Amino acid sequence: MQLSTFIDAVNQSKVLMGVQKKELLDAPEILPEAYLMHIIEVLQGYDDRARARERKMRKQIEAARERFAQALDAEHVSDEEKHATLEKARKHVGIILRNAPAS
Amino acid sequence: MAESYSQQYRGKVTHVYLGEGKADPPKPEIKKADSLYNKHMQELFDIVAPEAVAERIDAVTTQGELAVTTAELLRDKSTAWNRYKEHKSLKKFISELDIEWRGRELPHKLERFMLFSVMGGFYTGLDFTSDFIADKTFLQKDRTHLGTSKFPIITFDKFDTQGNRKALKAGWEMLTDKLISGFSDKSVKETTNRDDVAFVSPISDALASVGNVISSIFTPSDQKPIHRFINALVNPGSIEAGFRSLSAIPVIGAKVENAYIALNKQLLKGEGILPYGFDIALTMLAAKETQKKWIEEVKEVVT
Repeated sequence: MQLSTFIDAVNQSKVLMGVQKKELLDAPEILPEAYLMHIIEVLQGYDDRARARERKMRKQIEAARERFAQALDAEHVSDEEKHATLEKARKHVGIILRNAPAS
Repeated sequence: MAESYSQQYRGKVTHVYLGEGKADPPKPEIKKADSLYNKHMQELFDIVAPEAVAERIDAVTTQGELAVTTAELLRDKSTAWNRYKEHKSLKKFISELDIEWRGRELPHKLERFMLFSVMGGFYTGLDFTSDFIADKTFLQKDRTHLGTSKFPIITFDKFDTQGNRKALKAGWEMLTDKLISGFSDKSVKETTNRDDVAFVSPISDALASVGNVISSIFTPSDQKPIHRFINALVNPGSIEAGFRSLSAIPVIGAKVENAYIALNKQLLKGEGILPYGFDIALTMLAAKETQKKWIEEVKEVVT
């Protein structure tokens, strides 16, 4: 049970690099349980914080997008141009989020 | 004067002829949507940047915590005792403990032990022989003086009341020790064909000097076999060989080696090592004075 949790935590980890995952999963059955538990705790703690940061960031980005759409309306930008500008912004936000950590 | 110029802007070329020129080229029209878009992008950057920084700090901290946890695990697993509990092999445990305490693997332990034991024995024999030669020649029991009978340099009496015999013996002992030390160093230089190596370490030299002083003070002028044996043992070559022989013993030798290294380092850091000439003179004087004092005490008891 502990071993499978450890393997899942390593595989899903947002902080470990490929090489580290490979090393940790090389022979986890020989590792002491206390070590496995501590590693699980550390990895899951990081992933929880990363997800929280991502949620917060997406929420803020969504609020900014709404403000941007309202600003375009307030300036009487034509629907066609507004649509094109929002689409351009959406694509750029996608790039930013893909490159942003923990995304 | 006819004059023309062209202005390139956004791939379009505008030809301006004489009389039609303006002071500045036409400015591009900035759309309101573009302006708002740029503002929006700045806002997004302000949202993402602090989170990215926080993410990086968290990642570094987490990687550090993982490294420390793994290092602790390796440290616990790396002790020979912990490994012994897994493999249960006493021979392997001794070998691993020895490496752990030394910080390296010492090869050919038995050969080293035998070689240095033989060397130590040889230097002890040399020291013993030199004492023997002295006792049979210039420090002979029946000898009354050194030099000619007309011009004696030093005079002796039967009970060595002046302590001269004992002082000379102490000086001779130190001198032969120095020769043995030089001989052992020379042997190593010749064997290895290197000039930058030596056999005797500072701690062996220092222990031999101290040992000689103690031995000169506490052994009687008329030495018994045990005194001769101790005197023969106390020389830099034998002490060094002793250190090296003991160091070759598994596990216990590791501690001897550590102590030997630590003592040498400590000694090399120290200052105020007495010049050899002063050292030898002091030892002879100490030997002379203790002999005189002992004679005085004997006289008091007799009278």
